[in-house]
Amino acid sequence: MIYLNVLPEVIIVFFGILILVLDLLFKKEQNEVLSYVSVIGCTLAFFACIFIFSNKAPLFSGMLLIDSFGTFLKCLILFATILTILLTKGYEPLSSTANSKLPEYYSLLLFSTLGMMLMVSANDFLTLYLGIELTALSLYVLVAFLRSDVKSSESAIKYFLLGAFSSAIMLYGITLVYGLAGTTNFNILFSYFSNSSGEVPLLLIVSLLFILVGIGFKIAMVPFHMWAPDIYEGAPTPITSFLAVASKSAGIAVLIRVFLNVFPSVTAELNTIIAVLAAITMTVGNIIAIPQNNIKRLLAYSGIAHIGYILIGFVVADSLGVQAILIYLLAYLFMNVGAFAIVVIVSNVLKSDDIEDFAGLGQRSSFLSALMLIFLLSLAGMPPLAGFIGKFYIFAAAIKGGFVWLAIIAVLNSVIALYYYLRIVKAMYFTDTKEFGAIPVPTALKVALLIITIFIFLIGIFPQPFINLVNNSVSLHSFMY
Amino acid sequence: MGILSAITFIPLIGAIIILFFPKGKDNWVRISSAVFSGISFILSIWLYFNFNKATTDLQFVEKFSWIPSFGVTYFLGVDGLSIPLIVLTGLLSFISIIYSFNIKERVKEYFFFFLLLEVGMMGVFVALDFFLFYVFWEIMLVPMYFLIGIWGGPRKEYAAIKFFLYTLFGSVFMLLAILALYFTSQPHTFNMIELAVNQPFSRIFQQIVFIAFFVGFAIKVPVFPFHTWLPDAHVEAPTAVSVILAGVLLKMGIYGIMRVNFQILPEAAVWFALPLAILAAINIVYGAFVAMAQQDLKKMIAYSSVNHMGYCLLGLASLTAIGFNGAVLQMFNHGIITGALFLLIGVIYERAHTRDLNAFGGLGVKLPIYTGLITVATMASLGLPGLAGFISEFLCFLGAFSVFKVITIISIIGILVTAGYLLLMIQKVFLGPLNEKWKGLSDMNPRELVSVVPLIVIMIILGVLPHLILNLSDTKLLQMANLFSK
Repeated sequence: MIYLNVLPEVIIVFFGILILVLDLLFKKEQNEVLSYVSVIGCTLAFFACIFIFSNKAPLFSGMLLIDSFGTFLKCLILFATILTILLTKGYEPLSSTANSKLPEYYSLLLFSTLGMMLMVSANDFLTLYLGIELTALSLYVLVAFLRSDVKSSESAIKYFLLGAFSSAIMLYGITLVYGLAGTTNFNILFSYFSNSSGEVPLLLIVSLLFILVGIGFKIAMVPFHMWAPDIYEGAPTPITSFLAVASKSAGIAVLIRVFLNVFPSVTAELNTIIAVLAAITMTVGNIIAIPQNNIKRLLAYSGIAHIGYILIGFVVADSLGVQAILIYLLAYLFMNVGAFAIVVIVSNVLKSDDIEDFAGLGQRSSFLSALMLIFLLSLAGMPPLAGFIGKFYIFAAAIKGGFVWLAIIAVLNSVIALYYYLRIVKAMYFTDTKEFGAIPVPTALKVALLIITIFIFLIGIFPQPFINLVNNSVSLHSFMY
Repeated sequence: MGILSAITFIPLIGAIIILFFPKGKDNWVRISSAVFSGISFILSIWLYFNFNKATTDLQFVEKFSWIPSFGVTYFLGVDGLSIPLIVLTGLLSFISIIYSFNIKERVKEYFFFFLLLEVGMMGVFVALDFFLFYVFWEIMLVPMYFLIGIWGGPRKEYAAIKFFLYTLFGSVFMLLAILALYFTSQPHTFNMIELAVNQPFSRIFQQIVFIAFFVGFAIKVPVFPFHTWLPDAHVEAPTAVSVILAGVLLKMGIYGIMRVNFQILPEAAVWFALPLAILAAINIVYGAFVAMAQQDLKKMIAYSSVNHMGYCLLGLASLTAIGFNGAVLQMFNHGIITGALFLLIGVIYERAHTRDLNAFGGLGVKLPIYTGLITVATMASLGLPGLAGFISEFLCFLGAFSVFKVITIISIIGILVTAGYLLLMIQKVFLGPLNEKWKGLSDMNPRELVSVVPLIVIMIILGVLPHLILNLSDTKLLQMANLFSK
């Protein structure tokens, strides 16, 4: 049964619709059940992914390509979705049972997950564009979900306008490619442009630049990053973490597939530009993060910087580079969602997201502050935590690929990054507080934090199984290497 | 589990155990930290007596595959270079923990971080795989940051973050250098011993990698232009942490230079010997003069560390066995002597709440035991024959004089100035008429005596029997010097 390969997608579609149906059957007070339903859906899809992990199959006349590279990213995205649901359950502004829109929230979350799953296994510009739009449209609504909050609505409008604009630019790039080659299928495009010997047509370079702009927007690459801080700040925190982790991972996957697999010759031409953009991305992200006082904005800028590191793996453009990206994304998933989980818990009690609110957290709850410390140190790349393995891989790829200058900029950036992560640590541990009230941790978040912490230490101390996983998904099935 | 793993990770077990003690049981925390650190110390003594001094081979080796796809191994071992430092770390950690029994604020966190710090320090000296080495090197930064930042003096936050950023700045370059070595070596390896044997490193490659490593290590030592974190960190840190900073952390830099720069990149080491000697002379003379200008006792001793580490560097730069011997012995002696001095300054600060050199006077009458001990430590520090410091300084100069005559002669000024400011300090604080303000000061209590007296005894013993340490490393250092005598 070749169509078994889309089982994960089918499961997500089924559960997305199921939630809408159940909404009609349940009373408003029982909405809680739907979060379990969506977790079950994602978990089933996750296991389906593991089941088909080593399969490789083009489907629907080459519209989709199921391979282990895509499946690995699907696992990652589904994990992010599960953690996002857990965060949502603990997030007071959304989790109150009175919120009658909650079923739509979960349903939209699943559909945006579906969009990302399509993005990472798209084998045709049409499916790719559909995936991107499905993701984006669901996310526009999710960002605006705190309807009584002006900031949430404002950020949704910004996100929508800029997102639509960037999609249009990307679509224009796609049409130019279609005009050159007469097809949108990746396999045919690859053979078409690798057979036509000699110079790469200028128009192709231009059209790929357009596509780069579109994806650059999705992953918040400088200079297309301006939206990220505002939207991260305004969106409900679980959605912020979802945007920061899942959406970026999917975008990076598309970048790898389109640029490294389909148009390697053009990417070679653009490599210097992308290398410079990577350097600028991490530097801008880190430097602007320093003066931020809102922790969600700070994490937004730090996320931009992390994209800069990840782009190094992309610039190196060999299998070690792609492995480094996948390891980094894996580590980034856990440490970033972990940090956002702590933000959720603290803002439940204090009703704001400023760094000053973390003052004295070390004394109020040594458990939470210790976890936050672990997440921040991991983000800063300190061993023996997950983030270090990611950084190590990225730097190794850069040195091996001969991009020493990029590696030097990256390590200097990791020193800058430590400074602003330490600002939060300083607030937690060195500043006294007058408040000593306990900070309650919702059960769902306890579960999420437990999973995250275990993985951060596992990846940091025993990375070999994860490295094997990544190696398998890169080497076995991608068609370029 | 091998002996080296035990020495390294027993403090970690202790750190985890004390986390589970109920609130308010501060004495349990104190005693169990001392016990766990003590076990580690006793094991390092056992190591000292069972170490085979006749061979340059690695001993007590533990090697397991860790991350096979990168060839990373869990590789521990000791040779003559690391064994004195392991004993020193065990001793100073244990003594500092005893001295820290007077910490009253956030006790559990303090001892947790202290034990974690010990894990990192021990790990650096026993790790022989670069990946593992780097992990331990970085692990140590976090507890140190907290120890300075929470329990430190008035400018603690500034000092803590400066220490952290400075050291990280150095170590990230080290990481790149490690990766460069990995990808250039044949076959690719992180093994620090294999990297030292027959590797196809071109001279220019060696020089670049040498600089990258040197920046990382020089910040720790600290070598002249990179030393500015040191006075801040030493002055703001609580007493026991200053002891560890001066006693162990600075040695990591010298150890790194000897282990990595000299053994893996010998060709570059020859090329950089002269600049190294010049930096050493600057460290010695500049450190001494700046120390002389200080009014704050702790700051004075902090700068004297810059000066004393200069001796080590000078010994290293000579690339001779005598110089190496001097450097290794000087590392050990400086750890003991400066450790004792910091403890003693902590003692007076806790009573008088000032460290101003001019605020005291005539304390010798009031505090005879204290004055006696600090005089011995000071004399050892300025290199009085018969005490530990003299022999190592002498060996460093002896080694260097055969190679860099002018630089060595210039460096001698540092010894004179050091003697000058230390004697001046004794005179201002302990001699002359008693300042009436300090009538009520009490002499040292048992806890303080227990932590200081062993160090003083070691100073005297090593002054007479330096071979107790020199014998350990002699064979290894001779082999190292042979790298350069071709």
